[in-house]
Amino acid sequence: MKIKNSFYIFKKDWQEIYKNKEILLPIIILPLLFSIIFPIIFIGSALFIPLDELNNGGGLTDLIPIFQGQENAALKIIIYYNINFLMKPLFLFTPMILTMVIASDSFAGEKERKTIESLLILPITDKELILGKLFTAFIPAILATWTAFGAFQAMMFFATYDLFGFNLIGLDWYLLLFLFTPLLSYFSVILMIINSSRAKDAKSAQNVAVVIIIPVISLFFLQMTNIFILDIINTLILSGFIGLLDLLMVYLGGKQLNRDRLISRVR
Amino acid sequence: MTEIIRVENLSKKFINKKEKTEVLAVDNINFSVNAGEIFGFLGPNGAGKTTTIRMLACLLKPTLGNAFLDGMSILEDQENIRSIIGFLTENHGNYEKLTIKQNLEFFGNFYDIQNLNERIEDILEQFEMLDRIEMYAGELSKGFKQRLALARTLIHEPKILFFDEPTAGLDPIAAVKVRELILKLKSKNRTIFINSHNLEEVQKVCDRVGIIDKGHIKHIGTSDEISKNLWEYRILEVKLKKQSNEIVSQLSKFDFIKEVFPIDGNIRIHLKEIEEFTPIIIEKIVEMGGKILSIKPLEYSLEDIYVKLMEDDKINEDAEEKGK
Repeated sequence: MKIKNSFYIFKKDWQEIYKNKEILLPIIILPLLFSIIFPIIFIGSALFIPLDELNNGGGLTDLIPIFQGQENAALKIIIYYNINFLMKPLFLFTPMILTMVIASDSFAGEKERKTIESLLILPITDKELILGKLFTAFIPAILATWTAFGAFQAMMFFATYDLFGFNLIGLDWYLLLFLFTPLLSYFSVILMIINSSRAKDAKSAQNVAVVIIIPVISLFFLQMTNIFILDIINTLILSGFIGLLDLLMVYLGGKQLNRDRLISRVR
Repeated sequence: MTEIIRVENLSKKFINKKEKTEVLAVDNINFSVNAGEIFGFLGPNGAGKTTTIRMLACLLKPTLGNAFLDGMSILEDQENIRSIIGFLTENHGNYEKLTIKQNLEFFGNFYDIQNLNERIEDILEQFEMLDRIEMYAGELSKGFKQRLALARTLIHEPKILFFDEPTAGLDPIAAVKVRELILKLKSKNRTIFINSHNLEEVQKVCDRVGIIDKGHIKHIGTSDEISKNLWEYRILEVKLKKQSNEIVSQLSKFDFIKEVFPIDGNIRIHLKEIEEFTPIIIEKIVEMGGKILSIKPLEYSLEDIYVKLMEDDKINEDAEEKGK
């Protein structure tokens, strides 16, 4: 297997994406949204909440008891809740949306632009071709997410360290970003590529996105309502589960993605 | 002549699982193409042309049979075959958001080309587009898009070229340029396989043709060979200084002549062995005082052949229907 062949496809796809505003805009906007806009909203909103009234209710300290009795406990709880409960699952949306937007275009876009035959005639193996398409969606989605996370982390550190005396971003975040997110992104990319190989155009290839988006939205609400928390143990369990699904996707991808199937659907 | 493409009992069946239907697009075809030959593959829409070319280019796996390109099997040596072929698709297949240079770099990267940049400049100079090297493919006219597609197809100097409807949608001048290029490639000893329904084009550039319909090869050969198989009689056209009914009636008496009739000031004679009996015909006309200005056998055009084949097919089908 010649990995450089996959990188040639990656390079070509990105030369095209660079000229495609529909794909390029989400790649720029989403990380900005999650690294700068949302943290400002979530931290800033804490300053406008009538903290004393909330505190008297006692509900907040029940939810996050670690700050009980501390100075500025209500403010700490609100910020802690916003960051660790609301922001954490939201970070999963960046790689999900980016992989969907990019991977849905992988083969369906080639069919739509009538370049699929000239691509498939190249002297490369099916694996090199699919790996190239996987790189196109996976690498930028992960890099954009990690870059956004890096900026978010720095921002959190400067904005909250003095108040809390410790870094709000702990091991659970690192596991989520560096273990769970790549595993979920891989699943999403392969699923989208398979669908893209069967669809006529990129838009119809996106119809399968609900399979991934609905569980991620559910995760957001479960976490928000304290029913299922993305702590270290749960993140590891979820990662193991998605890891198994990834293995299934390797098998399905190998079966579904080949030239014969791709070209048979081209008239 | 060395065979460079050999097709053996090749078949392709498409199965639509949803609608539970099967289509036998190509049914047990056999033929070969010689090295350095331009081979035209003709047939109506849905005849099996594109499926055949896709199987030969290792894009589709055959259901049955095999084919060999330069001695390599399409079942076993797909990658090696793809590295010695060029495929000009019906839609030009250029990446429109990439520049001409980026397009050629992308396609050239996959082949062992010593100095790719030099090769790109060379080929663009040949195609008179070097001054457009930084233009986006999407900004080019149809003719230039096709030239870029050809440049891409030839970047690695392939031994065998597959052209799927190479002049479809081009204006007449651009189409002539493409035909000139095809003939130029032949002079460089490239083997070219052309899928087309443009009969005039095929007649102009192809050495031999294969006619396919409903997945079956109907005829293969030069247009002369095919016409000999299709028509029992050939036509000899004689132009006389002065038309004479007497000559027409005297010629009709020969046993070897099937029919003689005047048309547009000429005489058309239908007979079997044209080479053998032409001297006798000339002798007879001269003997009767006729002055011959010209005499020539009329060749059937590929269009005549094609129309005849399709008509014969229709007659056979109707007969089969009635038989049922």
